[in-house]
Amino acid sequence: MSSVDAASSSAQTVSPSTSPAEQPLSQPDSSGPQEPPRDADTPPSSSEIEPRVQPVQAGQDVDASQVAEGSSSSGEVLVGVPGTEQVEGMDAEHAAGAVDDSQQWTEDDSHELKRVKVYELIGSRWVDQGTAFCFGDFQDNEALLIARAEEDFNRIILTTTIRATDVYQRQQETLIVWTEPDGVDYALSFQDPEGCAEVWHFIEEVQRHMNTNAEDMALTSSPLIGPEGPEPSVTTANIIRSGRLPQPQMGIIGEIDSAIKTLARTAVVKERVCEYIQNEEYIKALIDVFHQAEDLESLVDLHALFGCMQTILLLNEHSLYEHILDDEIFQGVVGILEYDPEFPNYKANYRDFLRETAHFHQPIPIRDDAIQRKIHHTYRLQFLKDVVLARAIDDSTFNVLNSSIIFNQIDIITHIQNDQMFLREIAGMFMDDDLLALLGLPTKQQTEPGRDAGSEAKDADKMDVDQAEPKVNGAAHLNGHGEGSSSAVKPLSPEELTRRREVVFLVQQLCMMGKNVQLPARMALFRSLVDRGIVFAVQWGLSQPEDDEEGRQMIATSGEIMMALLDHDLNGVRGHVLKQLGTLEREKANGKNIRDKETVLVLMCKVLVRSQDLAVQSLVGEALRLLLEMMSNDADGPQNVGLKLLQQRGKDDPGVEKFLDYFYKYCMDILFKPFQEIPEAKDVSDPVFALSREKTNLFLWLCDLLSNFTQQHSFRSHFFVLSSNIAPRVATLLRSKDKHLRLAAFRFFRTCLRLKNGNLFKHMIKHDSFTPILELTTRESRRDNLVSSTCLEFFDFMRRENIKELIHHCMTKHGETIRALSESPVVGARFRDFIARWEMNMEPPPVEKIERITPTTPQRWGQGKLLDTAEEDYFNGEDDEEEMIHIVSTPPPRGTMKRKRTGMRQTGIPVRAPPKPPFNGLARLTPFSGLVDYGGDDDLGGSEENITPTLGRDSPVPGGFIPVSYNNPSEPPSSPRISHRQVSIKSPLSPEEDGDILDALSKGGSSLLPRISGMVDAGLGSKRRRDDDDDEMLERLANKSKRLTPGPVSPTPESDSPGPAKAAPPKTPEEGPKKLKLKFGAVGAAVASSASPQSSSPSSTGTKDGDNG
Amino acid sequence: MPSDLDKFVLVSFAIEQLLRCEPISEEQVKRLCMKAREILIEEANVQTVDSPVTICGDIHGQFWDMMELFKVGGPCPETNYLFMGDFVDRGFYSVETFLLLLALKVRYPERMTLIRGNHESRQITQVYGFYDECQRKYGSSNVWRWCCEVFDYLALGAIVDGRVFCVHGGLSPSLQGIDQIRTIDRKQEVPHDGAMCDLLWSDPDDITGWGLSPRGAGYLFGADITKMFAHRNGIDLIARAHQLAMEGYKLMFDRTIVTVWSAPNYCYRCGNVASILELDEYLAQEYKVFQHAPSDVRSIPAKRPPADYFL
Repeated sequence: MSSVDAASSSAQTVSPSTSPAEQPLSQPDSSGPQEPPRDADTPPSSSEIEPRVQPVQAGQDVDASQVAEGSSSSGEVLVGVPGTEQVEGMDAEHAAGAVDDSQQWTEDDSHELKRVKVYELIGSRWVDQGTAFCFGDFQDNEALLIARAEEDFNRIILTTTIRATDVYQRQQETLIVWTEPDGVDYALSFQDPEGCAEVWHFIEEVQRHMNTNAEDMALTSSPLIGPEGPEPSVTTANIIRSGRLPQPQMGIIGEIDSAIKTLARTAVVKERVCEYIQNEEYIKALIDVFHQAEDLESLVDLHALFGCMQTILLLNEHSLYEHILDDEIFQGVVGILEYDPEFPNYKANYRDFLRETAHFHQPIPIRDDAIQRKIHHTYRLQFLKDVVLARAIDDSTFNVLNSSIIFNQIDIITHIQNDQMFLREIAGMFMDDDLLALLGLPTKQQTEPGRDAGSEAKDADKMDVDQAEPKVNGAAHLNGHGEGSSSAVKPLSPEELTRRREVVFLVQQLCMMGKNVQLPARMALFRSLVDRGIVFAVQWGLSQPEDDEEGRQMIATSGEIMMALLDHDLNGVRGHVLKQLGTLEREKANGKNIRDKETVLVLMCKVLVRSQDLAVQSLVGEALRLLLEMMSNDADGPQNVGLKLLQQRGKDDPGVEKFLDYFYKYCMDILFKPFQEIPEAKDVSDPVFALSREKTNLFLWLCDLLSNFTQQHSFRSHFFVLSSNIAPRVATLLRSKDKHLRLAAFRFFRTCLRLKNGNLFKHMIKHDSFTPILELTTRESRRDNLVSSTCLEFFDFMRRENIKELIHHCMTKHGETIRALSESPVVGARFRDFIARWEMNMEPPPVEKIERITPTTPQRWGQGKLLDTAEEDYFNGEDDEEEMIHIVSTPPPRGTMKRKRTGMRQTGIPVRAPPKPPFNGLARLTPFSGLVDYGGDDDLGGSEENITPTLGRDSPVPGGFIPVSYNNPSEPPSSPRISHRQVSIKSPLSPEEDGDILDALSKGGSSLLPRISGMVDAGLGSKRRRDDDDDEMLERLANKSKRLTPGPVSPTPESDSPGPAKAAPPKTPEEGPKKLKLKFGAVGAAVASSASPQSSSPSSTGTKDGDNG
Repeated sequence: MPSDLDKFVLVSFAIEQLLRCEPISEEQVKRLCMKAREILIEEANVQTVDSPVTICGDIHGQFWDMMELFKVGGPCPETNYLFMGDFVDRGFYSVETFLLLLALKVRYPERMTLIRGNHESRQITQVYGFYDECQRKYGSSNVWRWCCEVFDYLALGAIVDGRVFCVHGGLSPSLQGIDQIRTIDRKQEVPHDGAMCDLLWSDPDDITGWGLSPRGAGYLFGADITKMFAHRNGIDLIARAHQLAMEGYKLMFDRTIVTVWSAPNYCYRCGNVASILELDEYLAQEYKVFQHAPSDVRSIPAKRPPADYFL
């Protein structure tokens, strides 16, 4: 791609060498009004105009759509590396497609050439009026010379009508001087001789035009260029001089090429060249020559044609692209571009690809011709951009192509969304008759009897549609087939099967396309897909057998669709599951047999459990994880107010609760059934537990899911763990042969530990989970690897958080093992700390004890450690009540937990599809929405050593807050919301309730669109307020626990003290950035809440966003 | 770890194919990733490496430029390599680049060290090209998913002879000692904050103390922090990548920290040169600068649209 730059620059600046022919013939002598000042030759700042400055400017123009890596500010940081800037900016621009270039200076290099200083003669002095870029322009049939200020596109320094009389003089290489009718003298001092020549050329041309054709100033017709037979000697200079493009023929293509290049340097002429090329079917003529040349195998001409065609395409004229995309021309154009002179021994095979390989299918007809044409054009544009022009493309061409593509895609998407029949037909294909009947749609049974007649009519109808687009390359017309019966039990006819597959592919492509468009349009699309029942198609796809290639492909494709739906309308999909459930319940009540029917959720669980294919397992596992992710409920509070907010159809949706109820009641057992097949840890004597590869992978996913559920589903999952005896079976996997499965199993226990739930602790103790845990720890203790790090972190967490119950248990029941571990050269130090913690717990330490411990710490910087221990000791003096609060409080409101939760979310549920930056400011907030919780996040991993002693000392003691003591640690979690929910799990769904669900959801389904748009508009504000409330509550909780927590937490003085302290500059190095970041977080949130749905305009999306990149 | 012949044969084939910049089959990717996982799980968060070793910075999917790198630095088993992350995204060949490095890692685990960069993340790769590339080249996201799984197992840093600390981004205010990195549970998506995030995201800067990073993740850290860290941990040099250096590398803070950048003509348009840092057995530093690969018919980006289209 190194040739890109060369190519792009050649398109624009190569011609000076060929341009002497157009140099003004009459060099004005120096008898001008007055000699302009010398310094005008070199504008003061010209020395700064390094070629690279330009891209940087461009980058800043779009900087809001940049992402943090190399964002504008980091560009400044990267001393002397503006290149990053350029690329980032360019990326953003590319992706944004259409950068509004009408209101600001753009990357277009050409104006750089026309950088001038404008001087006015006042008295006898040339007065500098400012630095500007100078252009020729046409307005109201007048030719104007306009100088717009360099720093502000909208400020016009000078505008003057070009007159026919010879008042203009060109002096030296870079000066144009004239006298206005009112007697004022002006001078334009160009930075570049080329720029000067160009403007001078423009003036000359206008004058010539005015003199020859005084009455016709419209300039729309093209008097300069006209069709004309080949001239006797065609040279570039001749063509330019004559101003006519000759009829193309072999031998002169190269001259035409360079002539076009030269002519295109002036905007006005370029426009006319483009017009001419289109109106006179010039490209068709070129294609004719191309066919001749190809027949004669004249490589010289072929290569010249390649150059010429590339020049024409890089003229970058939108209408020209429209022109060449026409069916009859496009093949020829790409044909010409197959002969790249840079690779003379190769010929590309674009035409073959388009003719033989590319196929357009329409399993469901698109009845709008314009849209069909757009679909083909979009495909061709993409082909141009990604394949044909990939090497030669310059930034502006890329942008024009890209924006054409995106505008087309938006049109296509909008059309499909508004075409009621289209989506209904898709979903209808995958619904069974009962459901169709329920929805009042024609069932397949009904269509069956009249099929022959009816479908024939239909076929004919569709054939019409097909004939309306006969230009499709070898399109496979499958319409009209396979309207056959498809009740759940009857096998599908091959035609129907093919058609269904195609529809699934179609939906996937629709989803992919949807990901390209701006956030509001995208959300609307996915919402209507879900509302129209696309999940039925997904369900069918997922249910395909995985033992043949086609089935696997179906599963993969529908899995991708599912993932896209979940990314954009999580609660919509959940609502769909509940609707399905409601329907099934209703059918059951009506005495129908629903044995063969299931919700998509049950199906996914079953597929994961039965699958033998790694890819299917990963895909379905991940989809399940997304579907059941509950992160934005409960404790997460203000996090992810960006995309998440838009995604949720109201986070307190009672549907979510019902969804979880349903999942825990009907699906958990299916999903985790495989655990029943493995013994409990205590029954396994073999130190190594072997499993097949498929099983290993399955359990890997199950462990991951279980950890996530335990983390996120509070009492429901805890109840499941406590009542199902799954923990001791997970413990068995700690002995698994595969280390990564051991790790995954271990992470389940780590999750339990982090939840600090007394019941779970008791459960772990009861089932003696620590025996296998310590076994694993011991086994890995000699090495420094991932597993040993995780084990170490586990026990270090216990120590840091001083989970006395478990520390005590470990020391009393497994004291030997722990002591042995403390002798280990690799992990010993941490376990010595662990023992010390227990000893302190047992017997509050006399002061000497601290000194006894200190030498054993591994850190060389020692002193911090000493103070740290003292600090811990200090907290240690507190009574035990705090501990109880930790145990009972779910969600754990402390910073640590929050952070880790974020971490978990990252691992578990990849925050998927943070959509391409330029399109949505909102989504891009995700990365740094994490920063919001810096406020409460005082405990960065292992940061205790880092907290400055003063801070620790100053930290407020539990003042003002009365710790509540819970005597019974096994009580249910203390949060009122939680206990409320606990009630709900006990009450099974009553039939009426089910009806309600369906009703509510079906109502909800239709009312969702307005609701979401409201939310984006104004609703966001209220949403935000609600979050604020949550936030406040959270903060209170956090403060509470902060005070009470022993160990590493350093309560920030600011968080409680009144105003002034807040404004005080951060004192510790650690504090500084955090506070700042917090502010940024707020800015981000503000941006999120203010961004309007239509325009996540680059400039508003915030300079500060994490790189999501 | 099992060093069965089978594996070597398999991986050798994969390497051969990848060296020609031909993507290997989905099935091969799956096996490669599983093997890589076995190896990486045994590595420490800060992997210990012996000199001599050649340290490389960001590659970003510029496959043919990486071939230039191997020309300059010597072929893999003969030269020990340490790559400091950001193998994927932006370039046209993230798939081939990462899989080749991974295959070399599996084939010569002791001679190839890979540590994680901020682009080795699900979230980032979905925005900057690796995800799309996998979709395009394999028609599904399976390969992407498996690669991301491997990313989670990559080490966070490396230390050469106990004297040169290598990390993708930089330091973290949460970490004073290299030892503390040991207790990070690294098997996760790169978090948005905290020690692990900082290691992959921070940048050195001409400031005092810690500063806010314009990237929105990680921190800026000054000379004082850098020198203190080096002093406390008894190291001579911190080698990191993460920032474009027009000259290929950039030493800062009295040579206590260096940025090594190994993607010449970054994004095929920045016009920079790239470098690698060779440490000999005495840890003497030699920076070898190289240019981008000459334009070549092989380097024509192949970005075919799907053959079957519906929309």
